[in-house]
Amino acid sequence: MIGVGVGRDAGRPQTRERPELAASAVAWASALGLAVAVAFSFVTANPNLPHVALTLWLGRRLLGGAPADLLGRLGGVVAALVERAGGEPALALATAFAALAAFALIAVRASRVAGNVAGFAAAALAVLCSLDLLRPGGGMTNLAFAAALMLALDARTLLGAGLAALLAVVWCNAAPEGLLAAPLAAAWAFGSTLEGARGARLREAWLGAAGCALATLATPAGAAFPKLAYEALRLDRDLVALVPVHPVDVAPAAYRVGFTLVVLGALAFGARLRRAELPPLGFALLLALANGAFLPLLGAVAGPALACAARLPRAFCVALVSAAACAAVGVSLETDRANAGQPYELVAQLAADGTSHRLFCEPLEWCSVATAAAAPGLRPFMDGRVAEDPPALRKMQRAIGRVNAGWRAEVSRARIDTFLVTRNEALATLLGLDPHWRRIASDERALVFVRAGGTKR
Amino acid sequence: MRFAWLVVAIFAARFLATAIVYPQVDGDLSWQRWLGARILAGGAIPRALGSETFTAAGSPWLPQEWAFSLVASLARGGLPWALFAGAVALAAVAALGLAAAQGERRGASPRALVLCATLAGIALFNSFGVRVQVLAWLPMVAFLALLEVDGPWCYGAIAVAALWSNLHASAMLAPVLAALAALGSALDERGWTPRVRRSALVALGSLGAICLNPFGWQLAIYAIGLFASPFKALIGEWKVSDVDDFSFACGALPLLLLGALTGLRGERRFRDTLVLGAATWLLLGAARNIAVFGLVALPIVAASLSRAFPWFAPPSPAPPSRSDRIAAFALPAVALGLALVVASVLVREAPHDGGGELAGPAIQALARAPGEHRVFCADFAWCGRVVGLPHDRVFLDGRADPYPQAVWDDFAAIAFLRPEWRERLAARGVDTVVVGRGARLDQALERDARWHAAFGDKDYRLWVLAPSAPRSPRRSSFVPGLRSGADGEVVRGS
Repeated sequence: MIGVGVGRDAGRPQTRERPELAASAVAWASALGLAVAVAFSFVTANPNLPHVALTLWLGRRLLGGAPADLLGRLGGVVAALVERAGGEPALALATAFAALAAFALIAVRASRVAGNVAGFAAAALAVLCSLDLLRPGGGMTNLAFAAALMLALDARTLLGAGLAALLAVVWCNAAPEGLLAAPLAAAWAFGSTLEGARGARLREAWLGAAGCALATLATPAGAAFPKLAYEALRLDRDLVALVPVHPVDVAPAAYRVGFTLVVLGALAFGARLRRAELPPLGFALLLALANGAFLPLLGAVAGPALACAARLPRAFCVALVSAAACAAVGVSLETDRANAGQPYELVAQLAADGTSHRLFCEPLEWCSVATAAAAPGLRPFMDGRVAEDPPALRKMQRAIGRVNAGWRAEVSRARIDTFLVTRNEALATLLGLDPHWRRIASDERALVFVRAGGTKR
Repeated sequence: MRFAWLVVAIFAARFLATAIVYPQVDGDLSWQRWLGARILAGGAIPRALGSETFTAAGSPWLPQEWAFSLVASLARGGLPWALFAGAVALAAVAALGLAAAQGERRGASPRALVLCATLAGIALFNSFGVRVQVLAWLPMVAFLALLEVDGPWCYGAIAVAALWSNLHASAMLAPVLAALAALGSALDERGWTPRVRRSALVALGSLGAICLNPFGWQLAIYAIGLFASPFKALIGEWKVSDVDDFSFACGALPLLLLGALTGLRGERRFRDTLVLGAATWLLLGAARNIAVFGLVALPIVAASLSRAFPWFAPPSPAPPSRSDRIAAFALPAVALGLALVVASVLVREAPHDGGGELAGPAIQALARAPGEHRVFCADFAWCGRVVGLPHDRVFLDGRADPYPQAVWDDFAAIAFLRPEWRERLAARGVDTVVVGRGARLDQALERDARWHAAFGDKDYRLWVLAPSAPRSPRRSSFVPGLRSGADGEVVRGS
């Protein structure tokens, strides 16, 4: 059906069958359904998510002339510009566009080596790995960057290498995930070497890798970018302990299914994978296991590779695309419920009470909501930008949040006078038992405590 | 196998030394000994929780560990303990050796076997102990080995499944694995071939065989029910595997990556994919399955690796050279020497105060205290050591499965200090708490005047309710008489 050499020596397609119109129509309709699902999930809940709120706040600040912080935040600026142009509907449309672009790029790359419909199957696998991205929101752009980078590298031309480097520059300035461009390109170049590529093709692969590596220096953070971005990716176990990225927390619905699908595909068809695909696939597998948030990236890398190796029957491809679309719609319909419970009203109360608050949040991300509120009296101890905080501060956050021995001394040392905490946490119970702390506000999920005799502004 | 024996011997030394010499690290062994003694005394397997618990007496119980418990109750110390613990360790070693031998049968090269046996051995580390699930590894590997036999011997797997079901409820995997093997063979061979027929018959036979135990079909129902039990979220071993687990990061994960990157090859591609896929599903679901994955993956990945990379390819058959003949004698000697070194280092470094683990000192203090106690352990596994103590009844212990969800909910509320923790503690009539020093519950009890520390050392505290504190009507007659001595030791009150 596919008419392409997919063995170790395979590279370019030799012949290509004309795509079946009906099958392609179903695949396209499903892809459109996906985009609608992504947009719907953004409209219903994503703007309220703490990290989305924080990104938009950073973008608005930069547009207002504030100095850029170390990680650049081009993504925030673009999001703020889109918001300024058309409000939340425009943001929803932009997210849907990013999703569609990501899955189309994945499909295009797979189509080039495995045939049109199989390309859609690759995109469907990527979607199945990305289901939970519909819930947290905002990561679709990274997926699109990763897919575009792999497509540029797979071109194996000088233009492709240059394009990969350019993409890496933009990606690094848009988000810390841009750091992944360099190891992905290096893995691809290493794979090309393993595959036996010679001459110009090998040189271009390594040129692409070098270009992506240099791109990591072309951000406002300069040489500090790799270290900062690495920490922001939360692969460091120290940070993982602070901001949970456990697969169960990040990807409760899709992690096990998506990962097992990729592994099953690799086990069954791995022997026919092009060798150039092996190192990037191994890297993406490792990343996804270290931080479940990278499961979508694994889908983007593995989808085309496995579609090429599997030589899937057309009917199966169409079924897979349709199943992925249904799953995506289901997840997006559930999004509203899953994302409920951010303490916006409590933060607004604190911001409006005329008192200065040195605020500690558990969970930490609630302080991103406080930062995004941009109230002069609210000074969060830490917020979602953990990569930019020194290790000593993170240690204090962890000790207090987990009520480790000596946590009360850390509270005094950090001069914290306000707590915004989950009702169900031990910290809330222990503060309630402590006469030095007074509960002043609550909602169905959160409690606010202030130190008895807090300072007036 | 000659090189793989080196690896197996070193793991054997490690497992034997830690099983026999190191102190008990699994709280389950205490209640399992109690269970064995009860079976021996009463001549029947209990089918409900008794008065050793005050929260769930009368709840149905399926003590799948009955056979292990019988032997454990007879091996409490000295030579019997060494023999018993040694037998459990040898079962783990035999499982590893058998899986490696299976890899060789599939055509794996010595180099591939050494690498994969090492990784699989590491995958066993986290779960290893004198534990019933460790004993179940051997029948699982034997079942898979027999399932691969092309001939009537493969029906021996049905007998192994029956034996397996008398050791552990994981025997319900037997029909699942056989069915997947049958399906995979049908895909590989594109039809209803003799191999497919044999595997399908083994699947059907195993389905019946796993009912050949004192609990019959209820064992399979119980095992399936465990998959959906919400209380698993409170048990560390059931947490999702991640790179923080040494056995996962350095054992199972490299095996998984090797398998995924080499791809499975040969005439059993889909059969192996489905079996290994099922093991991957288990691996990603719970850390307790890391060892299971390692043993299933060892032969499959070793054979695949040997086919994928020339460096791992089996050496071409040639008449034995002089170096081969020397190696035939030298390698076992080296293996023995290394094993002895590993064992002696482990034995020399073994801690001598075996009671320090599992809140031992606090529970010993509790056992010496007068009166009756309704005991809550912040780690429910610690209360396994309280089961069977006269005058002491537990809130929840390591038997875990038979306790109703309401008890688990109350346990989580109290141990994690959720808003209603105090009300639930009172409603259940708890009057004694064993907790780690500085833990959340310990900090809360410190601020409650009705509780006082009757015992404390650097790691644990034993809290008792003050005599004047209001008590739940369901409370039994607690006779307080404990006060804390200067050295943290319990002193009887006057």
